[in-house]
Amino acid sequence: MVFRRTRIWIACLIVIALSSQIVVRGVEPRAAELLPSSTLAYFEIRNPQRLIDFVLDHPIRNKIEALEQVKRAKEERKYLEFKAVVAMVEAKLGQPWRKLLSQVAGQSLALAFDPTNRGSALIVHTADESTATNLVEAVVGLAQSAPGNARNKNRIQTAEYRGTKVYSLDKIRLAVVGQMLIVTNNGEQGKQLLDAYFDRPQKTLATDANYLRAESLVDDAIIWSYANVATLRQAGGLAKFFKGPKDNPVIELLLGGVFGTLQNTPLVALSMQLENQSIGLTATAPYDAAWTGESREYFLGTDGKGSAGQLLTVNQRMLALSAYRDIAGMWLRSDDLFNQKINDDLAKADSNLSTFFGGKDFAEDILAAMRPELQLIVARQSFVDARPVPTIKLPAFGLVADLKDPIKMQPELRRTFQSVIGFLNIVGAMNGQPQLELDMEKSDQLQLITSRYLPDSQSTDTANVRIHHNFSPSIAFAKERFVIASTQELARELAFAKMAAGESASSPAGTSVNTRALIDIKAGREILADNRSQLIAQNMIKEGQTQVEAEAAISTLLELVGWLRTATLRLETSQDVMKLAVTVETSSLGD
Amino acid sequence: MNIRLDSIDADWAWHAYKPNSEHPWNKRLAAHLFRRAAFGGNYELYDQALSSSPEVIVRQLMDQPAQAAEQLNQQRQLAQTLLATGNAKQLSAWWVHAMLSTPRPLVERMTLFWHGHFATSAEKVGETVMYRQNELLRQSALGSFRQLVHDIARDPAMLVYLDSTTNRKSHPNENFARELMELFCLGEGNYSERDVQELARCFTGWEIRQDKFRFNRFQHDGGTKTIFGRASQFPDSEAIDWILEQPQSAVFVVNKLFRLFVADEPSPPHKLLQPLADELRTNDWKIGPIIQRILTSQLFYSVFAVGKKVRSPVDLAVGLMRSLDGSTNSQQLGQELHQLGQGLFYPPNVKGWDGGRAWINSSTILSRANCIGRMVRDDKTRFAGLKLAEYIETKLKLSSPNQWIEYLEEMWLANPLRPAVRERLNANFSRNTDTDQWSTELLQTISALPEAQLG
Repeated sequence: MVFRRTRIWIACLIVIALSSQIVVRGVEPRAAELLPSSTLAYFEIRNPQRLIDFVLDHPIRNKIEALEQVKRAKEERKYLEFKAVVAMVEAKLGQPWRKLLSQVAGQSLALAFDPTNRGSALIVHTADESTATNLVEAVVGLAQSAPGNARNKNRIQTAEYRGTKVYSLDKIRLAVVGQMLIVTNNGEQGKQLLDAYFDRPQKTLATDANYLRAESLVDDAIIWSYANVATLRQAGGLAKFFKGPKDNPVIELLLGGVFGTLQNTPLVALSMQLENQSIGLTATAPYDAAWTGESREYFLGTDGKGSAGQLLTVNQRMLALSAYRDIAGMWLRSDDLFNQKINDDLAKADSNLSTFFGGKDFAEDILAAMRPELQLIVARQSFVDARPVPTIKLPAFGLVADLKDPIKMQPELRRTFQSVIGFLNIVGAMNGQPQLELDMEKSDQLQLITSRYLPDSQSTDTANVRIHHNFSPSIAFAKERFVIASTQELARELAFAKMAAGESASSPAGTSVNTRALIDIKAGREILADNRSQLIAQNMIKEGQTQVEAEAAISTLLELVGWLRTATLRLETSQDVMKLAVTVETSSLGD
Repeated sequence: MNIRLDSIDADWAWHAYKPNSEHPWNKRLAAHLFRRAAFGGNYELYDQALSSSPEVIVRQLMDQPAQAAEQLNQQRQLAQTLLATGNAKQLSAWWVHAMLSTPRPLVERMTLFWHGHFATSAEKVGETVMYRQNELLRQSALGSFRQLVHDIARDPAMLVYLDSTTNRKSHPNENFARELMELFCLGEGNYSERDVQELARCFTGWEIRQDKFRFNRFQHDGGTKTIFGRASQFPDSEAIDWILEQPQSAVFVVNKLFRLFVADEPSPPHKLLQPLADELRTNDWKIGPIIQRILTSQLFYSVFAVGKKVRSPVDLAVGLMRSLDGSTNSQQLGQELHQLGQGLFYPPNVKGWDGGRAWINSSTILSRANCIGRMVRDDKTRFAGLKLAEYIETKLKLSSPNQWIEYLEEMWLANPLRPAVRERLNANFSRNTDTDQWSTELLQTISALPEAQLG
């Protein structure tokens, strides 16, 4: 009797176990539901099929495959060996590799790193269980039977954990459970993942507050990633990084506010946007204007509300970078931002620059006289004026700022510019360098103070016109606007430059765009093409190529660059989020 | 073996070498000719050479091949483009590139020789002027030495380098006059201080303005000067011709050519050089025929010459690359040649490079091998467009370290490896089955051996 009752109990337990297993395996978990909340970094492709289609069907892919270099690379031994392996897998599984890839990647693909056991895991939610199992067995079989891989045959071991077959090669563990393909470099992590699959714990990465916040920040991006920055900071290994660029004023100027946020934010979420003619990458982090404090007020403005001006446009513009940067504030706060060496260097520079500005305080009297909305413009030069056309053709560049008190500052800046040109001429004459000639143009609307290098009347060498003829340093004043530019033409153009039609990058209410930039890659390509012979020459001597090979390489480079249209960058803050977005647009590739 | 040149009969020495059973024309001698005259050649050249004769090959080296004009034009354009950077180091890289790819290696060899003879440096002289001088040396490489000296006397690079951009009659600058006699035409001890002072007066009014030569007649001393016992006004550049008239001048120049092509040491006796010196004068100072005579002579193919020169850094690196159809990052190699003591466009002083044993010391011998090792491993280095291992397997059809050792011994080394060294190399590398590894490591190891330092 007792025996019978025991058997009934056992039978019931088995039924319950099996039914629960069926229930569990009926709905496959998300990767985040398998991972522990201690996960430091997480990357996920939510819709691999979309990514596969994007990459393989993109018009640029055909263009790349049509390149001679790519055609040649496809004839190399290593590529042919790779193709042979793919063909074997296709033959073994009876499906073309693209279909196979779609089925294996199926519904999602995730990568994660857990610092508690230093384990990295790849979790793929496949389309169906049999595809994953067949693929794993095919790949393992190929690895074991490949000629010269006799050693691998014994190195690949199999074991069973909770009824699941686990393959191991050194530290690598691989298992297929349900529709999930799991690969890890840590056995302990592997067990935890399988346990999580069967036991479905309450507390996982998917329930972690930081993870959930990150997920909410990326909307429905098909590729996204999350990093627990608070844990990274506590780990201490990247302490120097989080302290910011103490030894590099340029990095501080470009990204100081971002470092200020990283020092406090609990997480960063990355997302990628794929469109037919653009690829975008956005980094988003929780943000609080109070975090960055006074030391970086120069970067973000009071309460984080410093806004960059709209991008100006000029003829053949290659780069426009507009930013809110109170340089005077940065200069005065340098003790808080930089190390001793940089501060010493800045002190020396301050002293020298104060001399140039007739004893005025460089930071408080000169830099502070400009509004913090600054703009840098780089443009291809036309060389249509009377200057000799230099052999190496550099783009022109100019800096635009508004003066708080133009009546007071214009004479100061004009006189200093003339002093600098005079100084350059004296130093240049001592070193046998060419001389600059000053000139001035004045109207109701514009003051233009120019300088230009005199053509060498003795020189008959038209093949080698020196690089300094790229420059005709000039400044311009138009109402409040102050321009300092590397060429007279750009200074004149920037004095009246306006925002480009169609570039009105309006911001949502409550959002401040701190930095915006646009690179016109077409103009960049033109600049490269202007210097084609120089690029070929450099290629020949640095790559050891013949002229024909170098010409082909540069043609390819120009063609590749030609496939891209623009690249934009935007750093913006709202009340609780900082967002850095980069977008690259491709050219129309219909032809 | 101590070589004594005193006992060599000059008639025998400069008589044309005719291969015979005792002294046959073979790959080792062909490789010797290409090393000395053309920085080295590849296996195809050596194979072709066997079915030809030294006379024919030397004549081919002297002549300008049909494709040379176009290539030289390309090289000039490349130089002009690089000059626009205003960086003289780019010129070093350009010359390395030119040496590696030139269809006229003998001309390039002689351009380098004249660069050391009429030494000026981009350390002090602007890159455009240096390049113009380099072009002058190239155009005159096998031509008239007399004309070359006349041109050098007006060359902006030389006069800037010797601080002679201004030369006034009230205070004649003796720099150029002294170097003309001591370093360029006669040699030390063959002139007096008085000759220098008088010769300096001849060059007063010779100036450089805007990187160009200018004769300032108001600053020229038109009075009578007495040089080597002859009193004259020496108008124009007549003094240069008078210097070359001195008996020692032809021997001085021929002695330099002897050191370049035959052996670094010992110094040859005058009686050995005299026939060549006489021929130089007879040919109105044309250098080409003298080089032709040296390269086809019995002495050149004898034990007195083969393997009797220390390889300069250029010979070592450029020679290796030319022997293996190589191309590489010329900028990197140019910098390394500088570190090894032979920076192109950067000779150490007005005397140029000492050459010979001065190339080698305990520090440079390791650096030379490291330079070779770095170069052959560099991703940008290609051998006939291939990686070294692929080149060895597909072009040279070599399949083992031992075959690679034999190949290098025959094609690249002037002297055979010592048996013990060869055995040790075989023992160390014979079990290595990774061609990528043994091909580069063997080359670097051999390049550190004493045998590889001689060429």
